[in-house]
Amino acid sequence: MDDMKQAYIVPNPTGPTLAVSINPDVCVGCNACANICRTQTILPNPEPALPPIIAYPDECWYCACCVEMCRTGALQMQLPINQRISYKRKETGEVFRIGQKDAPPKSYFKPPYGWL
Amino acid sequence: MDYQANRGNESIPWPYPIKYGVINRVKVDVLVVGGGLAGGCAGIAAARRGATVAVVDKAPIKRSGCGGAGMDHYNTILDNPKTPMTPEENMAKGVTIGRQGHRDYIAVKGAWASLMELEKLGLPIRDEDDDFAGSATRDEEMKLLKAYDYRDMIAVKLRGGHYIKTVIYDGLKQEGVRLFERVMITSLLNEGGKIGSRVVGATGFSMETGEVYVFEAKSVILSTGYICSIWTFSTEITGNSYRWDPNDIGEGFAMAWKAGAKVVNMHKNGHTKASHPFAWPRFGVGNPSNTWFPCTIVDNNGKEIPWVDKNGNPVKTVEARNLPVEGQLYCGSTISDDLKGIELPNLIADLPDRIRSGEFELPLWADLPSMPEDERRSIWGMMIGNEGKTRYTIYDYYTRWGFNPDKDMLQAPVMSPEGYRSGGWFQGEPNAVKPWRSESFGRQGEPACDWNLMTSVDGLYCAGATSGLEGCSFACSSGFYAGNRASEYMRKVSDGGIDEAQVQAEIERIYAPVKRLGDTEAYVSWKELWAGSARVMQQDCAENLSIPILRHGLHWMDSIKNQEMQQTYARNPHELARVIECETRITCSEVFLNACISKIEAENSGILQKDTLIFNQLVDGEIKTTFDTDKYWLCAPYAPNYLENYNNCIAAEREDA
Repeated sequence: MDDMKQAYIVPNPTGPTLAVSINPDVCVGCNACANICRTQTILPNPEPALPPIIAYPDECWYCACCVEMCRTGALQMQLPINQRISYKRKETGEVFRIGQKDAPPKSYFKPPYGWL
Repeated sequence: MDYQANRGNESIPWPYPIKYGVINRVKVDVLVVGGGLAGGCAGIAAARRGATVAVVDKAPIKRSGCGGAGMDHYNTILDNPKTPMTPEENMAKGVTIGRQGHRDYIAVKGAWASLMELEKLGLPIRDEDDDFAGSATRDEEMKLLKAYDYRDMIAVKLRGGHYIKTVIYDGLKQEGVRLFERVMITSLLNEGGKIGSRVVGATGFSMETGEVYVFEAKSVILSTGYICSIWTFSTEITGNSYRWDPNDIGEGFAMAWKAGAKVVNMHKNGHTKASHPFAWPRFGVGNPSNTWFPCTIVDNNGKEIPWVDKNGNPVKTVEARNLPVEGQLYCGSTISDDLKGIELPNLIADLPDRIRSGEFELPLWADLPSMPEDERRSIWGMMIGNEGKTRYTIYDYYTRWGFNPDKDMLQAPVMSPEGYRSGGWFQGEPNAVKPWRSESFGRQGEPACDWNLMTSVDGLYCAGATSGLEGCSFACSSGFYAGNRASEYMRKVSDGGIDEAQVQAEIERIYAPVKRLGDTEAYVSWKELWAGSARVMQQDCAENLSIPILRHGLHWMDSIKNQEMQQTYARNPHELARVIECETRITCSEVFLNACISKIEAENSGILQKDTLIFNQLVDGEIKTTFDTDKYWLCAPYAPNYLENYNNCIAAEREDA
């Protein structure tokens, strides 16, 4: 509980809080994502080779060009909670939500043209 | 994964060197403002005709603009070898009053040629892998995949539409076009600094370093999209549902207005459904239209919603949803083609009543598993896999979370029953916003243009949505056309004289928000300024239009401009761009307010007839209003028919070829 003894005044977070996530264990700090982002949602880290900063998630257009540019697969889109709609498995009638923790495992992916 | 890396909201040093005050000079023949589909094609065309060209964009050009993330299909290719009607027949039959017919014609006339040009640049448009061999969507001879209408070829699905922007980007580089990325153009320069005289350049600044750019050019093409986000303040949790590239503010329009260009029909009202804070991921919910056409929809008990043709007769099979009725010229999107009688089959018109009566239970679901395999793959693969913003955010993301189109039905949003009557249901509850203002299909007014797509300011051209020509096919065809015309113009004129006083005044304006001191002078954020100007428009330029209300709006806007706008701060070049965008919104808003006054005054004085077009223009600091009749583009000095005017304009292009 030692780490619960301190609190800080910080500006309110934006909504969405994330928009896109960067896995720092996989990111190589190449900034390809920051360099394609149309809204400067992602900016380079001033410290070289460190993961870029998700600076303005509130300005994200969700075009995901950053995800496409990442050669190590470090980036993933993160839809805000209010953008996650449901789907229904026709045979069983079960309803799941996009992003739901116990959603069925990925069972479909036929790559569209040009998908690497 | 450490999702909390940025949780502390700590100040992080700006990652680029700050160079406020540094001025770069660039001289080219043709300057293109906005490098999306239209601007990219314009740049390629101008360079091929011998001009030195610069394309400037706020975003990285490889993926910038509304079509930058991809495109699913290409509309209104009426000049294709298998068309059921020619562009000339189309003009004879259609075009709503108030739309600028000559522009529509230019865009339609060049749409097929522009698609062929994109293919030459490397865009995969044909079903070369024979994924759809034998399917009704495919034209076996050309291996093109027809959209909407499977009998006729009016629109085609783009096999590799995801790459539409990257091939244009490669084309720009191949032609030696100079690209200026993350540079925001802020104003046009008139010869000698005199508003209304020919355009000789533009100013801008870097959104990374803050340094200024002064471009000198013999002609300028504006391709900055529509005027957007004027009525709705919507930053947070809305980007996903926002239709237009958030970089589309109306900069091209605002700078054309300030440079003295005549604008037309800026009083028009429509709806704001496509961009409000209550929508869903675009194309990311169950629905039966557009990218999802013709998906079967079932109610919550699995009962199928019937389809009817344009005459109200039942459409019994899935196959027939893509076929015109007997005697119908063709069937397609009435939104993009603007032609009566081409209505597609749709869900029953009385669906709202039958939902209310309990016959169909909400929520509705898009029943992909029941669709024939090729149609399912067309919707959830070809279309969702290529359309802008959906390849990763929908196709990849939903699949990763278990969605399987062979097994799963995607939900349609729950909304008031009227909402199911038409359109892509991702717009969500239709009653959530007021019907403020349309931001689509040339219904918001734009700079007036001649047959060369040149505005009333010499040397200043428009392309794409800035000229009211929306959609990827119209963007590309008008872009190629404007690039060619601007390049021809450039050959005829000498260097223009930039007025350094005009440049200096603009540099002062650009840097004002970063110079203001905190605490006392500058406590307003760009977001609050945006919300403030949007409130004026929601109140005073919406449903209740009257001259007193509109004048109140102008007074209110002027007060904000002189007070809070002068207290708005920018802490880095990114915020600076966002503040300058707010100033652009205020300029556009004032044009809308004034245009509505012009319209009511014309009504009151009896000048306004059904087909009257209203033009406004800034002359010596005053707004001058003039009128013309519909189809002025077929009156002297122009030729009396479309084809002749078009051929006159492209004569030099043909000679060069």
